[in-house]
Amino acid sequence: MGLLLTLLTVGGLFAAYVFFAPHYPRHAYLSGWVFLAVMLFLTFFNFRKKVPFLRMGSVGFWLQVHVYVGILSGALFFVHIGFSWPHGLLNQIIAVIFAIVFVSGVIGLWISRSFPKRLTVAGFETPFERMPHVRIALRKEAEALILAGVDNQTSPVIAEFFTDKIGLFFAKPHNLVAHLLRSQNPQASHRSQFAEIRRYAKRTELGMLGKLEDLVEQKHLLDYQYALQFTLRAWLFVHIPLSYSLLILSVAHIIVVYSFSGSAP
Amino acid sequence: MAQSDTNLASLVRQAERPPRWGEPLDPAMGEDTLDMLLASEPFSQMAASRFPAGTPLREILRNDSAVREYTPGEIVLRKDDYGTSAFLVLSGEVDVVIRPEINPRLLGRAVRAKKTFVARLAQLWNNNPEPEGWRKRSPRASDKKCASIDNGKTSVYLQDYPRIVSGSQTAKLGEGSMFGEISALSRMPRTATVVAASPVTRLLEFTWEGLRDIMKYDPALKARIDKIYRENSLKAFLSNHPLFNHLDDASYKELCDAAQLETYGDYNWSGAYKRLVKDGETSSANEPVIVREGDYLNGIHMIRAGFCRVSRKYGGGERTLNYIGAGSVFGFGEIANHWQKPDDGLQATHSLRSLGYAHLIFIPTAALEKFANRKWAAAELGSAILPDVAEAGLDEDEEAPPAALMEFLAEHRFLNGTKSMVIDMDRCTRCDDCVRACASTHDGNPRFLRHGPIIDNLMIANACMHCVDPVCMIGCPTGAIHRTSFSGEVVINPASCIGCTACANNCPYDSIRMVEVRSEKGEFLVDEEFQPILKATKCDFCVEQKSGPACVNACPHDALSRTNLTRITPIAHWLRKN
Repeated sequence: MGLLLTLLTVGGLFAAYVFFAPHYPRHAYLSGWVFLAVMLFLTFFNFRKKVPFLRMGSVGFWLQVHVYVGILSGALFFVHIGFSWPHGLLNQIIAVIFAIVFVSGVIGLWISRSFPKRLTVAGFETPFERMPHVRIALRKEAEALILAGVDNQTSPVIAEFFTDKIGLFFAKPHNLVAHLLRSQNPQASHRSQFAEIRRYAKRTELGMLGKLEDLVEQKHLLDYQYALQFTLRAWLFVHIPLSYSLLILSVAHIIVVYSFSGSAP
Repeated sequence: MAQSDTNLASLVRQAERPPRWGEPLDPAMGEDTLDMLLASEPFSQMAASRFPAGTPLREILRNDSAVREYTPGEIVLRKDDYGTSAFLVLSGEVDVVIRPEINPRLLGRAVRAKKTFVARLAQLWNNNPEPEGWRKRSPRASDKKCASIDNGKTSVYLQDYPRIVSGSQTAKLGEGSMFGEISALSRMPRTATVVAASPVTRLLEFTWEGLRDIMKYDPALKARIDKIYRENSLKAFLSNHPLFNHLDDASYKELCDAAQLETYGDYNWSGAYKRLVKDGETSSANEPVIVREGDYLNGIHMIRAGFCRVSRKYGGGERTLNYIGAGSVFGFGEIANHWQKPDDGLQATHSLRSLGYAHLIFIPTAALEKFANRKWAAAELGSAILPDVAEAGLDEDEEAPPAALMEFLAEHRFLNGTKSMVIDMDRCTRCDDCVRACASTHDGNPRFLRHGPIIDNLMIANACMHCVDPVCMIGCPTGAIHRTSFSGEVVINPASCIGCTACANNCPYDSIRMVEVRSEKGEFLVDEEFQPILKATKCDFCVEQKSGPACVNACPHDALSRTNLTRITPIAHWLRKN
């Protein structure tokens, strides 16, 4: 319903532009001020999130409005620039920043709707702040397995396998892009490595290798959670700072326009 | 080394650890009042030697009681309020209003003060920059705040009291009578309104923790309260149930004599439950069976407190169809059906098992046949008391929650929660805006963890569920953890919390956190042995915020809900909405 209303509004604005534009050659002033108001409104969403104790409607409602007005701002932007690439360095910088803010918003909306389901299905749910602790716990458990084996005179092949191929895997997050793209290659690679090392392991070492492989699987799940949760947060580090930059540059743009436009209507 | 010592000293400040009796119920209570109390019944009969040196009777009375004076028409207790006190009539009389009840609008119920717009906005700059700053002291929870014979008075009167109660059935309680103790000790709402009836009525108010301590060391008082409980609460419960609320006093007496009280599990069940969790034995097979499917039904079970699981055989196991709590009746459907079709058998169609702790009243079939309101029963056929309990309260187009969810809720004992934090993980972006919102409304420290058991796409987070039966309150030595009087949210008074960790250890859901408190300058407070001073913190459901719980308001994706899990209807509605 909200999307339909937005499309209708955008369509209406576009029709009005096509109809009125020839009669009002300096319509850019009007659309510019409306565009600034829209940007201020969109930025206000961040303030709303900071004051959850005020009765101003739920943040969920504000997000819906933010999304629809954000889509509307895209249409308004094209109206404002007259459907042509702007002239001048400042205007071009503003246009590029707006494009990044708009696209990052759309991407953010998409990942906010699709990533949570993937995280739920994957399992091994871990709060983002707890991930380093969980990673360290997995690493310590893996190291303890190997050290216990070394005390019992485990073959050096296993220790070497751990040192060369597995140990570093526990040190930090890995395969972020692969996890985002749902690639199973990293897991398959580890499975293949474990299958190979089993050929050279003593029978008494197979149990330990099974446990180690379980820990590696858990680390893959943790990395999967990390990749998706990191992305769910990271896009905001593009979207929000650039939104504020856009506002500041827009004010500069207004000052420049009024300084050099002569008699503004 | 010296440098690091200096750094440590700058981070901490020594402070006095809050004592058990740091905040007396009546700070103005004088020695004369105490002498008067100790010379009067029942305290004059108590052997002082039974009380340990750390908690002598005189100090219990000094700190956990207050003598209040009331004038005719003054309200002592309100029906349905959650109270933390019991009362002993020292002189005069009170009226217990039985029925019809007094119009709630006349009772002058105190509404908890909410923050004004300015106060809410001021949180932006007034909040202590350091989390968990030491709070100013606030009065202890009481049914009457600080009004006492040794202190000023504030009162609510029933105007024209004789006219208001002229059509009501009342019971008079005179000198030496005790009331309010069951509600205070069992963490249940008050079952009746009590109003002062004499020109001058003098009452002794006990806090529940004071009463608990006296009962612990004086077997006579314990026996007396147990007797009162059997006599009063049984009658109060039965007279409030539509099956029996048409009876006269003589019939009630006969019915109470026939009724049997049954208790399953420990009153403080959290310890036993935690052991079961540790051993991985929380399935229905380890729960005490009250009624087994297929057994002959010789009466009904009415649940007075706690929860029970209703299940049916399914393959080699049991499938949970519902869980039922206080006020529910089990077995009546089969008996009512048998009345209509005597040829049908009288076997239980479901099994009933106790979940943790359950207190039940068993009414034999003979008493039921004699006293039950059959007209009401006939009208109610097909409702919640019947065997098809799984469908109770749901609209025609709604489905009961999946069996796996029911098992999950029962095994984790989540059915105790009236305001459980349920998160739809398919919508939750793990942004932690809910956590930040909670922190910004509570001393800069969130009162819950966005973490907890998950089933399918639902997480029940470690946030206080404001339980029907809050076992966290059982061991609190100071009564700092208590229920708000009207809506029953479980809250902690930071001024009287001594950081003993009893509530946190008792909570079966890990929803109470012990935090290290700081001075206004951000130094950690430590005692003389440099051990940190702790206080218990938990979700208070934002009782002071007009906007309601900040966590719900702050969720951008409508993924978070505070849901009543004591019945299946709210969760079924929420699942359908999502």
